[in-house]
Amino acid sequence: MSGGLTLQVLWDTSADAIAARAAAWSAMAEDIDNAAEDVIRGTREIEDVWPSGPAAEAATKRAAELRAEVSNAYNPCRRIGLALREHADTVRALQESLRNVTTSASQQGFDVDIAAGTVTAPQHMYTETTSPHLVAQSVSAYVGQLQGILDRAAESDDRTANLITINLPDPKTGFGSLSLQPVSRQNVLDQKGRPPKDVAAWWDTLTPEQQEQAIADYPELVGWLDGVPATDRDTANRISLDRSLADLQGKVNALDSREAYLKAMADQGRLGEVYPDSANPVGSMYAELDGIEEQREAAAGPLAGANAIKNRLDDPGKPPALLMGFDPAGDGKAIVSVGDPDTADNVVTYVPGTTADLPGFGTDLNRADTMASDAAQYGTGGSTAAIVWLGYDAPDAIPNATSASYAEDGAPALRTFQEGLRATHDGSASHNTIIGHSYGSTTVGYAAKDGHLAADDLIFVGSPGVGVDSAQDLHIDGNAGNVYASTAKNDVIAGAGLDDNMIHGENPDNPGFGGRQFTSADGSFWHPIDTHSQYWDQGNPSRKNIAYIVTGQGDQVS
Amino acid sequence: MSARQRTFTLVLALATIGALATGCDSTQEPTVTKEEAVQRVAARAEEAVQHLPPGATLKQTLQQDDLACDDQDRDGARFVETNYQVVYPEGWPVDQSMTTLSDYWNANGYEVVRDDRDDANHPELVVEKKADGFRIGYLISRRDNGAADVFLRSSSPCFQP
Repeated sequence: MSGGLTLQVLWDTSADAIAARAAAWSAMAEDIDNAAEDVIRGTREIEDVWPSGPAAEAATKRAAELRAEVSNAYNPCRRIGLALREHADTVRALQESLRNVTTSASQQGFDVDIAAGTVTAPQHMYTETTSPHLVAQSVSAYVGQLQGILDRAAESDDRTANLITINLPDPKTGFGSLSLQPVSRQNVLDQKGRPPKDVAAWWDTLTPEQQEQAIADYPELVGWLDGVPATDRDTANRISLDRSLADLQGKVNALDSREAYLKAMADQGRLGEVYPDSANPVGSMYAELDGIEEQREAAAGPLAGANAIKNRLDDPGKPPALLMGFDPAGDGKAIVSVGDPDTADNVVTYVPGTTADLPGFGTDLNRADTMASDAAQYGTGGSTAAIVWLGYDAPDAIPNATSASYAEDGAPALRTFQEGLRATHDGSASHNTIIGHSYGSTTVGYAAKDGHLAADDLIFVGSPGVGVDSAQDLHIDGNAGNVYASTAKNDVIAGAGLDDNMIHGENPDNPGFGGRQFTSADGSFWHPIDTHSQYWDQGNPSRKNIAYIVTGQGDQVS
Repeated sequence: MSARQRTFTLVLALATIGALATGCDSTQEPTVTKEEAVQRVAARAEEAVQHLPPGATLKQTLQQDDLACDDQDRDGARFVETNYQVVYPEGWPVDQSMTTLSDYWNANGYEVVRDDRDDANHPELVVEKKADGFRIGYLISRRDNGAADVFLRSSSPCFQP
């Protein structure tokens, strides 16, 4: 394939032309992906709405073939696009090397013939030196460099040609109409704990049909898998959310029905029928009613949180949001992004603190909306996605917040989530910020203390300490100058320490911490608890400063 | 500071929090309903745009009418906030608009909460109506591409819905 490749061919090749073809293949792959999703969603109900008869069977069979055919076309197109893009980058880099070598050789007085692929020394260079062997060595070195460039070009050319060949459709069978093997639960479970970039690579190997099947069959697994694109996680988590809502509402309805039944039987004096073995049917009824009330209260919180998320996702008056995680178990966990983090220029991840749970998730959702809106207003013109990340079990009450265990337990999940954002982002890297409020700042701090946290900037507001005494000890993509903090003068959290020694380490809003401080409104001396929650209030300069940091204008904070 | 000292100081803080949580920290809420708050927030924005140079209109960008006043939602107090973009025709006097509006607010019972009018890229003024505590802000955002986007942000104080 690369037998005719010469330095002259490399010199004359247009890397931009290759890149343009790469873009065309990638665009076609994206179109196929979208078409595949349309075909899958448009045909999978055929069996339900047209269940029997020869025509129905034929339609079902043909629909399955179509789904497979269009799905099978996606990955080959994508791979060709990626191969061409990589080849374009390689050609560009090798051309630069070639220019450098020829320039250097010419400046040393050697003659370089690109067409012939030779480097020669004029005769006078041999006669005018006492060490002609050094001239010969230089010639040999330059020739060696040129040969190395040519070898790498040939290698890239061969690799790219091979990738194109193996990914082209068969002239007779196209890309085939057989569905690839379904993704098993074990396949998905095997991805847990792997680096998100590896998960992303695995997800990309699946056809659209396989991805759809994995999402439909294992939404509770795919929805939390860092490295899966945000829109696919959203599809999975909406399935989990709808199931949870139906389940929770079903429980409440069953409790209501049972309560109504018991009261009706009591009114009719028939409680003996309800509790035939009880010596005190009335007492048994009241005991059961107490139990019903307890169960109803237990279901009410998660139901309220799930409904708050559902209402936000379905709100046409607000920017589109993606559900990147949902789990109603225990206090509940959820991740919602206002905007798509895989396409946004800026991404801010908000980590709430003490008392954060699913029932109160609406408050955190509102803050994400506020930060997305502020970024749009104070930004330079790029797009911003604002995520509320409740992917950990936050302390239920203030006394629990004296323990670092919640932060230690949540830190690994936050780290992999941030790595996942990097792994699935389209195009050039976004500017990523994490903001921790109250105990949320402690969780962020532990995530950056005990490992690398993929964020360009960190913000701590109303912090009781972040697990370290110096910004230098936080490991992020940026440095200590990218660590920002603010605590309002009358924030009650300021009392969680003596001088600047907070319960979880040095106060990050202190010059001695080594980060950067910004201004928040003082708040009211008489309302220190309210002040702790006012960093997102109208007129508070913290909002403006947060927006500056989130949009990459940290030099503007004051 | 030792862990014991830190725990001790936190306990002091918790004691304060506990005392405050029993009622000492309750905010003075105005006697408005949620519907009235939403309506007044919108009315204040309309009032502002009426006193801008002619030609500007409002485009609502975000309405939040169920914002909790504190993380723990102790007493159910709420506030509302609505954001608007000020849409203006070509040639509209953006720079003059800030002065025009601030003069109006100054003469009509508003007091300054934050004055960042000197900010080169994001001149902003946030004021509060003394009579009821409702706030409104005016922001001019100068973009990298030379465009200037203008925003109004109108909000209520905390109230019991």
